[in-house]
Amino acid sequence: MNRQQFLAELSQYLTFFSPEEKTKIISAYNEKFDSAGPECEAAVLAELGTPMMTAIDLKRRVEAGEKISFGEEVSCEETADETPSELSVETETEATLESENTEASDEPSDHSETENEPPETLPEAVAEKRKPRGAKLVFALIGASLLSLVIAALFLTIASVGIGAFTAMSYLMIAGLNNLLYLTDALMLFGGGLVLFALGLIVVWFAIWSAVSLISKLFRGACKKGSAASEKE
Amino acid sequence: MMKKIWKIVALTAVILLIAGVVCIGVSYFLGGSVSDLYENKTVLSLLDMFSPESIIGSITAFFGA
Repeated sequence: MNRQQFLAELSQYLTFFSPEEKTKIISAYNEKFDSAGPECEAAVLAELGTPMMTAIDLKRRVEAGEKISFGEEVSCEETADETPSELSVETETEATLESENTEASDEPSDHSETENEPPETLPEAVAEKRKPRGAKLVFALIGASLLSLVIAALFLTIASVGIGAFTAMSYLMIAGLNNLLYLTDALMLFGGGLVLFALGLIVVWFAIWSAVSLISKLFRGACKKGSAASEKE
Repeated sequence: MMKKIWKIVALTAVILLIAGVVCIGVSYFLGGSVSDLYENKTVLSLLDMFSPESIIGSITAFFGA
C-alpha cells in the first residue's frame, strides 16, 4: 500500500466525520507524509497501520473528547520538521496553533490555509462535535438492529443445515467404527461421513460469513445515512 | 481476516472431500456398494434415519404440518 492508497482508503472509512473534518484529517496526514519525505513513506505507513484501524482510533478518540494523535515522527527522518505529531480533529493541534501564534509575529505570511485558523474557533468546534446526533440516526440504528435480527435468524437456519450434516457425519463415523469387520461397509461409511463433514463445514462458515458481513454493512450504512440525515437537520 | 478463514475452510473442505471420495472409491474397488450397505443390519437403522423421507417427515413434524 502506498500513500495515495492509504489516504483514499482512510477517506472512505471516515464516515463518522463531517466533510470538512474529513478534509482536515486527510490534509493533516498529507502533511505528515510530506514532512517525512518520500524516502520515509514506507516507515510512516508502517507506523500508522491499516486505514481502518486508524479511522477507528480517530473515532474513538473524538468520542472520548481526546486529542487525536496522527502518529509519532518516524525514525528515518533526519531533519526536524515543523509539522506536529499531535493534532486536534477539528483543526490542527494546539501545539501547532501555539507555535503558529509565536511564529506569527516573526513570519506572518508563511503558513498554509489550515494553519491560519484562529485558535478561538477551537472551543466552538469542539462543542459542535460533541453535540448528540439526531433522532434519524437513532431510528436508523434501531431499524438496522431489527433487520440484523432477521438476517441472523435466516443464516442461523442455513447454519443448522450444516450442523445437521455434522451430526450425520458423527453417526456415520461411529457406525463405520462399529463395522470395522466389514471393511467395504466401514470405508463407505467413513467416506460418506467425510463428505458430509466437508459440506457441513462450508455451509456453516458460509452462514457465519454472510451474516457477519451483511450485518456489519447494514450498520455501517445506517450510521452513514443517519449521520447525513442528522447533519441536514 | 475473513479471506484467510475462507481459504482455510475451503482447503479443509477440499481435503475432506477428496479423502471421502477416496474412501468410497476404495470401498467400491474392494467390491462394496450402497445396496450391500443396506444388507448390514446395524447400519440399516442409520440409513433409514438419514433417508430423505425420514428427514422430510421430521421437518414436517417439527413445524406441525
